[in-house]
Amino acid sequence: MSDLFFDDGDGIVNVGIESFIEPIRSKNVPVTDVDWKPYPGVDDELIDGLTELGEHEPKIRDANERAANRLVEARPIWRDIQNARTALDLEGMTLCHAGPPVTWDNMSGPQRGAVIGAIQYEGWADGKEAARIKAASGDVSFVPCHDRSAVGPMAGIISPSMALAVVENEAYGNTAYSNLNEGLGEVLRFGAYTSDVLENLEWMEQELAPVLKQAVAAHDGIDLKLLSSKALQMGDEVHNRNVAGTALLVRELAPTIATLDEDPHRIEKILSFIGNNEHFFLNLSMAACKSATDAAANVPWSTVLTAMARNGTEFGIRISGLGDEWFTTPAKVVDGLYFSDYSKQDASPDIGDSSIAETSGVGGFAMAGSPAITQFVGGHPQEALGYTKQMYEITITENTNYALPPLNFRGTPTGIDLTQVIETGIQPIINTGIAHKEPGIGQIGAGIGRAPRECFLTAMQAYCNAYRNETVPVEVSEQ
Amino acid sequence: MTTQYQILHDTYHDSVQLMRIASDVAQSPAIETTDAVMGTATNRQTLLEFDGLTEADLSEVQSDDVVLVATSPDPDAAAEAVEEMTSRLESAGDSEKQHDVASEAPKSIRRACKDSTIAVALISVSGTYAAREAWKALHEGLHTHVFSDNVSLEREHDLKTFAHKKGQLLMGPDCGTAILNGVPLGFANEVSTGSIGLVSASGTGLQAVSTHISRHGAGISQAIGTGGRDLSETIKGLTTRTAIEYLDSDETTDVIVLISKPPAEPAVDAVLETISTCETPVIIHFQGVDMNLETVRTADTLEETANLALEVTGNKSESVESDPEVDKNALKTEVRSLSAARTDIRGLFVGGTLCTEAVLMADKTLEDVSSNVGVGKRLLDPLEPSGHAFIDFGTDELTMGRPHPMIDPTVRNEQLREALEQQTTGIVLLDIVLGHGSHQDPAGSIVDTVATTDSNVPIIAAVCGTDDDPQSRSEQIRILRDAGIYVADSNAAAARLAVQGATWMTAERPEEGSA
Repeated sequence: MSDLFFDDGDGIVNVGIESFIEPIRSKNVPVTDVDWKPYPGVDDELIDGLTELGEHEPKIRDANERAANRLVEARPIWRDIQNARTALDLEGMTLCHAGPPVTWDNMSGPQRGAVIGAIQYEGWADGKEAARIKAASGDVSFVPCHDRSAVGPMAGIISPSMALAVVENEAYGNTAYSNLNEGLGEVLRFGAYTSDVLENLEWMEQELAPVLKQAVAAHDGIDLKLLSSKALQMGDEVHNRNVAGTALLVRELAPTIATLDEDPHRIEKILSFIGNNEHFFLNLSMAACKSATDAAANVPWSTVLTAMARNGTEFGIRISGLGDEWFTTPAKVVDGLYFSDYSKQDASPDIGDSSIAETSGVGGFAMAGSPAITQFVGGHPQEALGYTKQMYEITITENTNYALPPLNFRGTPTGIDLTQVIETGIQPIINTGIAHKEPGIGQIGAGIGRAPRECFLTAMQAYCNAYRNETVPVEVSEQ
Repeated sequence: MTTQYQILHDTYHDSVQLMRIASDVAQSPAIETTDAVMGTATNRQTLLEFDGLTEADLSEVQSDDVVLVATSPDPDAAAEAVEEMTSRLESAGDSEKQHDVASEAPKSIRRACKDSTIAVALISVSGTYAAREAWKALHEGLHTHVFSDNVSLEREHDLKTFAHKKGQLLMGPDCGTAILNGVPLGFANEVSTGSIGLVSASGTGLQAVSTHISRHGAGISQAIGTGGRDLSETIKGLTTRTAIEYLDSDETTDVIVLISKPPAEPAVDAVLETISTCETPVIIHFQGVDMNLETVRTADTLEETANLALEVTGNKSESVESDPEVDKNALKTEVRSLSAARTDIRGLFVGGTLCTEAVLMADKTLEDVSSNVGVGKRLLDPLEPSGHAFIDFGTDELTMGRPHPMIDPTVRNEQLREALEQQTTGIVLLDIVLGHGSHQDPAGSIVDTVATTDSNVPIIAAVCGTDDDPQSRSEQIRILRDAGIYVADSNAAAARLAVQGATWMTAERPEEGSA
């Protein structure tokens, strides 16, 4: 056989008509048949835009490699505890919330509940009715956590007095923040605002935060990348399952806390609080992820996602090469496993910033290492492998720091590529808790959801429009 | 004893995995000890126990770095062991990737190229997506065959400009066939391997020439399709020129044959410029163009093109034994016995280039020749023909929403029945194109159609293919001849015969009428 156009052993990729394959194989040339489908939901205008981008593919790939490498190379260290007013520069009556921007009028039940709680907690109004009136009055400003380098699970309400974990990304010098996890049951993040909830917040601010601040300083920071790596090998996916991560954290912190000059009863209460809350590690994991996605933001030409976030009203995404712009679509109710007495009818549409985990390549994307999670959908561990494998189709790189034992230590799929989502029709998988739609009731289930396609289509069209003339949007520039 | 070590910064691996790799590499008899650990404070302390590892060596090691160490009396062996551990860590997960390939088809060209070594892409998705997919293939560095049609000329120009610059072949859009390194792509025939290189802006043109060459004992080095618009004014032969350069550099190619549907002048000029630097002899067959060139040999028909290539490469060009001469006297008798109203040739084609060739030949001799392929007079409605009418059933307008007539002969067969029943039809001229992807028995479907009529109109056909094709050319010829159909050796021969038949009809009838 001639080797003018290819060497012996090289293959041919077939995209389309299957009957073309056999004549090629009969010449002993390997054929890879692409499982190709028309790009779902893509209209003619968008196809035109995508085709015009074809020529710029090398530039886009290069940008995506850079953005995805930033996700992989991030080195998040938990350095400090700070008060939110200072850390997030919250002026006057400002509250941060999960998800894309939202107004009080459009706010979901759990988020409204959390706002009512936070207004009382800050003393901006007395009693829940007054708090509700205050929230609706326009006196309180609402800003997405994401706009202040912060993330919050579920309702994600952060008020100025709250204590935040400060996570420094030592690879790129940026900082990200998250609130501290309040525990399970009746909690603010699920929209509860009873006196118990407020008292717990008070305790966290006054008792827990100062001790953690000292401990973290004395420990010279906590390497969250290392903890996450280990937790992933112990069956966590560091989003919806944090049993191992929390245990590892306690193991790390307990000796240091024991050396602090504090009342033993107070220390006992703090260690029990952390140790008994299997999700304590979640907020730290989220801040670690946020520190990575912020570093990957604003890379000109990049189509890598830098945020997926929900507020119970809308689902929003951000794209590295499109800066801070949100692309949103109404949030959907998640299919999942509901606690007894509850069903899908009771559920709030998807809510929380915790999908920052999937955005940075863990959570649902690391499910192969967390077969226990599939119980939430009554699934089989084999399905967990399937979810992760599918995510390799829409991601730029593999994070070998987060090695998945069941996939022979293959790295987690990392750096969601908007274009690959559009063209394969595969929507990112998200592991999530499910909140009751009414404020104050709390978590009623957990499940595995898919990011809705509509906002990806809008974002892709915006990207095509922005880069059509080979111009980078002015606000986008690499750090 | 020498100690060699390597620090992998900012890399986390599970301790079990590290131990496993370290102990595997320590199996080598040349190696004394190995270790592979994360650089935690405790581990760093342990590492100092190795001879020759100092605190200074480990001063930059952090808890999320991996440290690989090997000791051996042989410094090279120690270094090799460290290298081996490094590469094993880096390839962790690779076998899983291979497993994936076996079990699940990739969803994109990009993924396919990550999973295996790919050199060529064959794209036949809907034209809406074809350009986008072609870009992806080109950026993977692949030679790209775009079978799909309905891609705009502007997109074709963008793609071909890029491919030409990169030295990649962009075959298509609307490229029916190619044979690269002996591998058939799209609608290709089973032809012999040899020293004749083809570059064709015509799918059936390529098929006709390559099968003719193969039937006459020679073979093809490469057969590169370019898509029918490559020699248009816009594209100016971008792919043709790249292909010529490839073939000129190829030692197994002794002659380059260029084939095109009627080309635009600027494209011809651009191609001639490329040819001027070409060391390999070139034969040109551009339909409808009279070229008087000193350095390049030209041919008027596909058959002549193939024969010229055979001659240049020192092969004989006589007819092969399986192709006995058509009984012209029998045809003449049949034609004369037709009623006086039957004077028209009706050409019904599945190959556009074959149709064009027939029209060009008929137009030289006959009046009132029309077609739907842009030569002769314009046939206003291809499905309501009159006069000497030649119809290509493979045009975009006639394939809209249905398969190509090479795959599904229904539409042509309906028109064949109508032509036979129409009172003015004197001769029917057909092409039959074999090969991979074509209908499994086109001759049979024609014969069945003819059998549903009581027509005595003579039918002349040519079969494009080889005996190695899935349908077998000689078998198809036998089916046609058994049904009384005249089968010529080539499309040009069939067209010549039809034209001759038409002159017999018009020349002799007036005498009959006056007698």
